Amino acid sequence: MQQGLPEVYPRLWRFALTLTGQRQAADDLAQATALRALEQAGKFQPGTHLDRWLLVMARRVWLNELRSAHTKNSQGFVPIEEVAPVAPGGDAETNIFARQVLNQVMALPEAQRETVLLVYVEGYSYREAAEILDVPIGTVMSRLAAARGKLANAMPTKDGK
Amino acid sequence: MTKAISDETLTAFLDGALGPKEQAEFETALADSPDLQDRLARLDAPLAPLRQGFDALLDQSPAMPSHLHAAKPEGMAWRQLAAVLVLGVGLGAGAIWMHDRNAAPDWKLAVAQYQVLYVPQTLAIPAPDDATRQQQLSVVSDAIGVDLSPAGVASGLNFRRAQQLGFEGAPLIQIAYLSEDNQPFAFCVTEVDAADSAPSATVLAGLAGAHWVEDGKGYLIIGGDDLGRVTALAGELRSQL
Repeated sequence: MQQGLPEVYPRLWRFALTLTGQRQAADDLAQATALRALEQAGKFQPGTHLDRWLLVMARRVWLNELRSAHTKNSQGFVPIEEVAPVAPGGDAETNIFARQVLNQVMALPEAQRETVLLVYVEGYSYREAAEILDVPIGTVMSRLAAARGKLANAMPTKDGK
Repeated sequence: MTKAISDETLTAFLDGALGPKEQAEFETALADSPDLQDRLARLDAPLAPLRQGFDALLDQSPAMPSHLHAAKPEGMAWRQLAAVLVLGVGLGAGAIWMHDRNAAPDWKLAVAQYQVLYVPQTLAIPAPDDATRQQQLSVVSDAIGVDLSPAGVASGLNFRRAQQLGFEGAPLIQIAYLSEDNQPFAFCVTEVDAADSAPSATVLAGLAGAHWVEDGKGYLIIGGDDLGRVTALAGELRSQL
């Protein structure tokens, strides 16, 4: 785990950013989760998925400890440009579109955001996502359906992608 | 297909998550139903740009330990300086603990546990002359298949020797330095089966270390207790190699 944690850290941070929607809170959450993971290293079963273990832990830390404190100071949705400035390079038009979609995802309710990230970005199956989120599969599916409806409505798919 | 088709089913179809039987039923129903086609189109979110947007965020993540090292006790009440200090202890304890039970021992820990035995007197040997240094570096470069000659010079570190060790049957190169403030440092390289990763700092066996992976080689600079210092050294060495 000692070795794996820094490697998973960017994904952990991205999940934290998706949960919190704010950079400072994401930095704090990722850091607090890493700290917790190191404290609880004895509970990690070698050979199981470190990434899932960390994501579950990040949610727990967020829901139980940080979210209420954070929400008091929160100014709500922050455009992604303020959270994470555009990286240079790449096709400009494609990047702009990607960031618009990213903003649409970040404007979704938290439950939909995290589910979208796990299934459509991280590539977990419905069942895996349901386990990480500790909800029934049906809930994962209904969140994805709702998110898809909003995203497709706001951002029609470009012809031929 | 007489029963109503839910948005969840449409989503599962778009996600390729229907079972073979459901898939066939759905395709049949879809072919005859402009209404269903329309509903499907209204759920067809642009997932490729979505992934692209999220993947671009990975590059913006702070590296774990350098961020922890640089963390200031500001912001929310729950995050205290103490937590950062505890983390340092936790990293060390976690490292030792993992070594005890991990089936595949971590080469970095093996290096750290060896390096922790170094004292300034270990390296109280005269600095080799340039020719000797280059010759040693040339030998170890050949052994590992990476030109390590630039590592003969590093900020604040005085080269002492380069030698080949071994770890689990693979060559492990150790370049030993004595820092200008008289602390033993080591720069180690071995073969690893891991994807490339940017330098990240951790505490190993009580020593500050910064580690990265490039082209199947793992690199570790270790020594002292200053994570910022090894992080800077890692950046310097990496850019020179």
